[in-house]
Amino acid sequence: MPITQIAGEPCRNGDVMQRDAREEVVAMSGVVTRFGHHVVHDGIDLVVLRGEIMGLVGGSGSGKTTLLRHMIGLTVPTAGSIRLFGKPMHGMQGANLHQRFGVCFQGGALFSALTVAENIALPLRELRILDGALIQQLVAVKLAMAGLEAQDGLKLPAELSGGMIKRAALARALALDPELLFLDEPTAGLDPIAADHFVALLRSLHSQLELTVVMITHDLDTLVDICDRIAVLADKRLIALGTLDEVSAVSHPFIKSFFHGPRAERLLRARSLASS
Amino acid sequence: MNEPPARQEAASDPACWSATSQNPPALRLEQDGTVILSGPWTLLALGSRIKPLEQQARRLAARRPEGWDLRQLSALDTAGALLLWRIWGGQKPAQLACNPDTAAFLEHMAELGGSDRPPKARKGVLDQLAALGRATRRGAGTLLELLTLFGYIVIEMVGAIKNPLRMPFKEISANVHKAGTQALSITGLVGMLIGIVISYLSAEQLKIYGAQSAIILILSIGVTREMGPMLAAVLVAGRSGSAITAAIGGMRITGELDAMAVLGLSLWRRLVLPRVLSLMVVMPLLTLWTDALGLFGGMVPAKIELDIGYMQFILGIKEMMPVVNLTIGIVKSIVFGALIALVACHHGLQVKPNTESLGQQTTTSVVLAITLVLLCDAIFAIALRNVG
Repeated sequence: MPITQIAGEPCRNGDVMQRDAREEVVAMSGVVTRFGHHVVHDGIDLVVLRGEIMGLVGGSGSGKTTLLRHMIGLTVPTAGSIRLFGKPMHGMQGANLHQRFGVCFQGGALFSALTVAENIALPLRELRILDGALIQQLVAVKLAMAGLEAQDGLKLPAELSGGMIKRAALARALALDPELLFLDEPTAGLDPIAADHFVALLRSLHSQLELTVVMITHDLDTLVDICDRIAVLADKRLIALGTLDEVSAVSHPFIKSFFHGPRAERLLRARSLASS
Repeated sequence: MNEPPARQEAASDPACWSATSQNPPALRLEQDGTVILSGPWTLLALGSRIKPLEQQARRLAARRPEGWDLRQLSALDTAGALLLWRIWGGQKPAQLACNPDTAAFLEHMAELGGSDRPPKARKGVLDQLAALGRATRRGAGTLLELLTLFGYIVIEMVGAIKNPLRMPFKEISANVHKAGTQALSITGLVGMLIGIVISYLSAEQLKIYGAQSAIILILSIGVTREMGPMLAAVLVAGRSGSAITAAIGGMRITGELDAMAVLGLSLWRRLVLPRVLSLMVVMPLLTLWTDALGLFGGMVPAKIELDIGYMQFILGIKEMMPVVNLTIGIVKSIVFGALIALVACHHGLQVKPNTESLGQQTTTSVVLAITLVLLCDAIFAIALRNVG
């Protein structure tokens, strides 16, 4: 899919990814967000390529979720353009794009009056092209893919644990076999074991379904484990974009405290020891 | 779990399996007897073609083709894979030509989606009988719970009277504003309209009997004793009752009720008591207001139809109507206010943490409140039939 009109190279710290012929799944250019006088984003350019896992980090209040909401079409930026699969997100064509990506909200946003299975079946039914039996089978597949038991499908969201809510939300996001997956804090609020499981699950889904993933996360482990590239939001801009090593080499107070704080240093040291 | 990628996209054109592809999913029977599938067999690409394609494939499958060739597929997703398994009747065809990635993906899908469907909760006759029993018990239970809630309120009230500082004045005042001040226009309007209606209808009848001046008595007693409290109660039940249930129920959904319990805040003192007290304050005031506008509304047709002057009407009320009617109306309205608030709070606390339950409890709350108000009114009417 040719997209040539993306202005400027989004990477501030040099060419990190080889700009090969891979499709640009998400392409944001010059995105500005203002709430009244409060400027949240001041010109953000970001490109996500097919098949990569992009981690979006930033301090609280740096506008990560707002940026994600722009990408999935819930809000419209004050200025700038967002293209998904080469098509403008905001406008007439945007509606057709919704079936090509899945979103996993932070709190799950499961429909509380429906069981987990019904939650997953809802987008499938809404297409009105599948019969009941095939929908049932698809629901079973999605449940299994998200690491849930068939029995869990009968439960209501209120009866689920935190980790199961995340899994159920993931299963629903995967319902239409999307090519692109947005995750908002997928491991927040999970204990380390559950978080590890979730990361492993994501990794296997990524390779199974050849997903492109954009995720907001605070969790260094997650970033280190599965993110191909990391985008760092601070000072209303994208201050760094690249692999972990490249991003952590950028000198900026936020990066210093995030990637070189005592916690991060401990983690990275442990990892380099383990790998050597 | 580490399965190889299942979407084999043509490298030259990654968009070829998007929903608006030039080469749609298709299948054809070759001369050598193999069925060749081509195009993207994904949920979105299949779209409305899914039914005709499946029928065509089943027809081909019934003719026992030599083999199946999946190598021309440009993409295959879970829906496509499950569809293929269904076309094949759940069994892998003997001759299947596809690359190993696709084969592994197909196997994986069959494993996940094959036998293990989420079981459906079955409902037998016994379950339905049990549901009936539960519903009956719930109905009886509601009354008992309302009584319990009333008991808690009395306890809280006694505590609040003993120690007035514990009285939640701020909440009461806020509720009086919401349930009272903001309801003035609607209760006034409805009261006036009803006054006009009663007045016009009675005027026609009274003219026949030549008992023109009786309209003053009919209106004054009818409005102050029955219509005023009744209308105010029905409107408040619909307006404030539903709001109370939804507000408390919403707190259940967001977990605020749990937070209050953990912080040691009494639900009854903080949520229920202020609402009950404020409606007990608001209802008589609203009733007086509705009475006044109802009578005002009745005065106009009396003047037009029966030629009874405004001054004559007002003085007539003072002379003819026993004050006890007004007292009964006010007392009733206080009871109605307490009833509405109790029912609304009770149903608010009954909300389960899902949106469906919130809507259901709000509906039940309003219906039950209005029903109880009417029931209560009937009891008053019978008990006080010789008064006034």
